[in-house]
Formats: sequence, structure tokens, C-alpha cells
Amino acid sequence: MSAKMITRLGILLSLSLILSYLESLIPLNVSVPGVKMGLANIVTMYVLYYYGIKNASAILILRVFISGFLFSGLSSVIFGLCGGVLSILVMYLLKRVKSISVIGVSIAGAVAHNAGQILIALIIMDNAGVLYYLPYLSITGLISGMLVGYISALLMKKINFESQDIH
Amino acid sequence: MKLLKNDFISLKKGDFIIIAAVLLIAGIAVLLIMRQNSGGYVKITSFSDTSTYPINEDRNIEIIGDNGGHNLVVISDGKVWVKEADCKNRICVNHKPVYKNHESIVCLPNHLVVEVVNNKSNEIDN
Repeated sequence: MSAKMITRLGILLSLSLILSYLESLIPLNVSVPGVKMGLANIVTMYVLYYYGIKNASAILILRVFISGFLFSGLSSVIFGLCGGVLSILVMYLLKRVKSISVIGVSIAGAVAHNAGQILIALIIMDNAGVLYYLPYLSITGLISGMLVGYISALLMKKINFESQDIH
Repeated sequence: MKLLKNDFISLKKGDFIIIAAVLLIAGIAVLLIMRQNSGGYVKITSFSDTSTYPINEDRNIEIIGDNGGHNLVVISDGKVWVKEADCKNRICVNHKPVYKNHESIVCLPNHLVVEVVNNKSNEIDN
């Protein structure tokens, strides 16, 4: 991995951390836990599209660990990891489908993220009651995924010159 | 709108499939939750005794209450209601059919309580 690449990924990681922090500053008055905008997913999507799944996973996992320990706590690391890994796998698979755009990939990723969190809550709490959050979290995932997907698409369109010297 | 028209940003066919799939998942989850909310059994507590019946089996239950009072409880289509009663105020007969967990119909003069419960036993559900 070239120094240029390492620098770029480092900058992108700090950008995703800033976005996580920014997000934690904006209170969303929703009674359902786990509802968030997922702004950091903009970076994940960008890296996934231009630098591949390995780099995207590295940035995602590092971001979850650092932002978890800086801004929230261990439990958010566990939840974030489970949601994030599932989300990136889904996004990686759907990205290969020609008829799905960045927005569709983002929506699926957001919903997969929420589903992963519900899954880990199901395992940790051993209570099927958390399934009650599924409809709320899939709808909010749909909305936030659309938003994030649109921003990502916009960004990728503007910054696509970068892809040429990497691939 | 110029941005929306761009090829890279406009929604493609696959995107609509994904949106539909998400909405479908949410819908199915809502349906499952609603089904879980409707109780599974009907507990009828009369002056003399208590008995429990499954709410999904249609049946008519004749109850002889306190002071020879008489009620006819009907379970049908997953709902339960009091069809006939010889009490004066007729509150139980005019009550709409109940089907959700913890909903109940009470006939005070005949000491009758019809309640929708989750479990067959009297355990307190969490």
C-alpha cells in the first residue's frame, strides 16, 4: 500500500469520525433506540466504491472502535460492529448488481445495519421484544439510507477523478 | 431537478425493488406484532368458577351467574363478545367485541368478567 493511499484512508477515517461526532451532537427525539442518520456511512460507501471492500471494512471497524470509545461506550461498539459488518456485506453484494444505484445500495446498507443491531440485541437480551423495533428501524433506515445514498451519489459524481489513479 | 436527472443519481429499477422489499419487511413485522398483541385465550370468570377457552375456536358459552343471572358469551372470528344477558343495564351486551390482550368485558350484576389473555395459565405475563 502506497503512502498516498495510507494518507487518503487516514483522512477518510478522520472524516468519518468527525461525521460520527457531528451526528452525536444532533439530538433526534425519537423514542426508539438506534435511530440515527448514519452520516459516517457516506465515507464507508465512498471507500467501498473507490477503494474496495477491504479498505472499506478497515475504515468501518476502526471508526466504530474509535468513535465508540471516544463518544459513547463499549455497548455501542458491539452494536456498531454487528450492524456495520452486516451492512457492509450487504452493500458489497448489492453493489455488484447493475440495476441497483448508489441510493439503493445505501438503503439496503442502512436497513441491514439496523437489522444487525436488532439481531445482537436479540442475542444479548434474549428477549423477542426487541423485534418490536423492526418496523420502526426499517422505515427510519429507509429514510436515512435514501438521504445518505443521495449525498454519496452526489459526492461520487463530483469526486470521481480520483478513481483513475487508484484502480 | 437537474441533479436528479443525472444517470448516476436517478433511482434505478433495482432501487425500487429494494425500497419495496424494505416496506414489505416492515409490513410483515407490523402484522406479526399485531398478531402477537391479540391474546390467545379468553378467560371467563363467573360467580362460580373460572374457565379459559382458545380465542380462535368458535363457540357459544352459556353462563349462569350470580342470583341465577344468565349470559351468553360468543367466541367467533378471533373475537369475543356477550350476545345475551338478562341484566338490567345491558352494558356487557352493548360492549364492542374484544380481541386484544388484556381487553375485557364486565357484567357487574351477574359477576361476570370476560378477559382476553395471552396465556392459558394465570401467570403474569411480562
